[in-house]
Amino acid sequence: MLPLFGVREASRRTEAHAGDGLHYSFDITETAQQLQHINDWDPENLRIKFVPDDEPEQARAAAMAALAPDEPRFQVGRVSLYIA
Amino acid sequence: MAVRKRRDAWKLPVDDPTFLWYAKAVAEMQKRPIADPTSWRYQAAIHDYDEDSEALRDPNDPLPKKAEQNRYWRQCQHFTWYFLPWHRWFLLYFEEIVAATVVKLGGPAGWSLPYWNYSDESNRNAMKLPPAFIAETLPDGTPNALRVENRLRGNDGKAVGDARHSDLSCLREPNYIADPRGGGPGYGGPKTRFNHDSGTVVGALESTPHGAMHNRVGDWMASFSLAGLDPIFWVHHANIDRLWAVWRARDSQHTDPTESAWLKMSFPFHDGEGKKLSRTVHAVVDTTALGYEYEDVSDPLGAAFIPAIAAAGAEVEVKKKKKVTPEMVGATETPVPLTNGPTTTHVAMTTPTGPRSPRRQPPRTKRRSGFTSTSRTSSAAEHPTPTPFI
Repeated sequence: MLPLFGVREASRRTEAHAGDGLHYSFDITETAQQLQHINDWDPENLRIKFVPDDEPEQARAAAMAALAPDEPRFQVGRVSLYIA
Repeated sequence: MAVRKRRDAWKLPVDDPTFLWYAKAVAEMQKRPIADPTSWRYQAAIHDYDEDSEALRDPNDPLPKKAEQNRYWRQCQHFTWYFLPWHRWFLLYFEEIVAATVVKLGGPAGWSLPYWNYSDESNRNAMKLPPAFIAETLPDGTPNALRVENRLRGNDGKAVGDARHSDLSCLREPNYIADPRGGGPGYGGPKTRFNHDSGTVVGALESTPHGAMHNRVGDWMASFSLAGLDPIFWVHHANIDRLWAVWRARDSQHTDPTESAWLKMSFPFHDGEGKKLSRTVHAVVDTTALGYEYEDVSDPLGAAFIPAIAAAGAEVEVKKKKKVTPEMVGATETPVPLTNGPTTTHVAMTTPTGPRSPRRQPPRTKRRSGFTSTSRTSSAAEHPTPTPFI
């Protein structure tokens, strides 16, 4: 899950901060091991897919009406991969 | 000091006085002017106050003076190691104010916040709002202040989410503090100064279930400044506060920070009578010293429970993990815009040059506790299975 609670607040420029958004950190060791197990681990080309959480029809319709079909609702600045 | 119990809202009878008196107290607090620290709107403003809150204000109801707003409002601590202790104090004084209001209304002393355990796998209704929060009226036919219409989900009696949103994998996070070098998010978040809404790393518990459940209930609950106006906010946060106690109880190595920057940090509040005070983190870590405990802090993951084994007299060998500085081995080169549909991006992993470099690793070495795979493809030999964080 990538819960976006607080993203709106953290993305607003204030006297205290520049509004750079949020940082999330996930341990993906098990995922990497599972992909290795099924021979789908390709370190040259790791694919990361972001899928929107489901929304009630009413909220989806409101979101769609407010945005052009492909207009970004959020932006991920960077995805980094660390090893330890 | 007598120790009160905060009880599971789903295990209390629907007509339990806890809910009836909570509803009556909320209605009473809603009548108080916003400048009164014991009012419903002042309490929500302690968490945050912005133009959305202002839009809901009665123009004839004057705000507190700017100096008071600056000291007591917009205080909520997020994306920081103060997230848990600040919210514990916030809940405690809110609970005091509700309890004092209950007594003023002729109710019993000692009212305690219930908690909403949406992760309870033994309760098939756990993901639904407890019934007292969706009933339109109280038994006497008056409106139920525990129900607000400004929720995206839940008022229809259906589950607000699924197991992904109430997932408790965060309880496996070994450290309280986030690794500042690109590692784990920590159970309690990153080391910061006072942090209201500046975007740092989101702690594991604060992310899921905390943030996920805020957004699933949605509308007011999805906003810092409006969340406290929904009575379910306080019951949700009582559960988050409980999960701090659960994390500490499930593993003897799950410990709070010991640094003075954490322990000596203090925050301003008003107590149950509206009196001003300042409270430190140090004084909030033990709930029984604060006069309450939770009905259930057992381990919901059912994993090996070291303190229980130790209590039974067995000798327990605790292996400490060796700390390794995480090394970045790949990153996207351009920002990734998220649209209404799925979005895929790619990262190419480079060969590590630090401690996880293949040149420094003898073949078939078990590199890390929990990593048991010793068979690797040739490309994986160049790119060892990572312990990565994205």
